[in-house]
Amino acid sequence: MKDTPMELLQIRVLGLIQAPVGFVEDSRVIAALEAPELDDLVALDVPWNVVVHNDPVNLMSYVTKVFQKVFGFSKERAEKHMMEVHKLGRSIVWTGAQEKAEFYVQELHSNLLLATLEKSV
Amino acid sequence: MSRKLTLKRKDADTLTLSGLDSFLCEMLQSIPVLGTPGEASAERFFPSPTGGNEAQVDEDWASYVRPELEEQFSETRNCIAEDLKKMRDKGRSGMELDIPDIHRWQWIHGLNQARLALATVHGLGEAELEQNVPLQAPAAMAAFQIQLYGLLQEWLLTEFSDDEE
Repeated sequence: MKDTPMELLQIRVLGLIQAPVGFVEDSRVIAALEAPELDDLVALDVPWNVVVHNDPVNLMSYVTKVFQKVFGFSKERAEKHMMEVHKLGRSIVWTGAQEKAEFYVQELHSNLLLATLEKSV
Repeated sequence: MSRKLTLKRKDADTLTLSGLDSFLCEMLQSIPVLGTPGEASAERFFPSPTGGNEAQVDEDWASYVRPELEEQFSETRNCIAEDLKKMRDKGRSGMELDIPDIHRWQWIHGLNQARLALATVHGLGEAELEQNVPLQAPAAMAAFQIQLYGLLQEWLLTEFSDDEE
C-alpha cells in the first residue's frame, strides 16, 4: 500500500531532523540541535507569492525594466506582467520560499514598486 | 532664442543632457531635494511588505529592511547631487549635464523618487496625471515636474534599451 501524503511528509520531516544528528559526535552540539516542531516545518513549505500592485506614477517602461532587472525576465514576459498590473491592478510575479520572496519584495521596494508578499493558498 | 533639450551619447561611458536653460536647471537641482521622503511620502517609500497582514514580518521589515532602503535612497540622491555640481555652462547653448553610464540607474531611480514624492504630497493620482492639471491649480507645478521627470526617465530607459540591442 502506498504511503499517504501526510505519512510521506512525516517521513521526510523525520529524515530532516534525524539525519544531521547521527553525524554529530559532540554531545554539546547534539543538545543544541533542537528538533523543530512539525508545524514549523510544514509552514516553511507553504509557498509565498510576490505580488506587484498598480501605481499611477511609475511609468510602464520603468516597471517593465525593473521586472527584467530583478527577475531576469525576457522583455515579453516582463511586459505581460506589467500589463497585468496595469489592467487588473496586480500581478503575481514570483512564487516560492518565504526568504526568497522577501528578498524579491525588498528589491522591488528599492525600485519603488508597490509589492507585497502573501501566502499562496 | 530657443534651445532644444537633447540627450546624446558623449562617449562610450557618458550621456550628455544639453540645451538646459536656467528654469530646467532649477528643475534638475530640485530632484535630490524632492526625492527625500518626508512624513507625507514615507508610507509610499516604505510600504508594508505584507499589506499589513503579517504583523511579525512587518515588524522585522521595519527594523532590518527599512534602514537599508533609506540608505539606498539617500545614496541615489547624493549621487545625483554630485553629478549636478558638475554641470557646464555652454554660453548661448545653455547648460550641459553629463550622466555617466554607471549612474544611469541612480538617475532613473532618483527621478522616480521625486515623481512619487510629488504625487504623494500633492495628492496627484491616475486621473489627475492623465488630464492636464489647470495652470491655476496649486498642484500644477508638481504635475508639470512629474511629467518632465517622466520624460527624462523615458529617455534614459530608451538609451538603456538601445545600448542593449
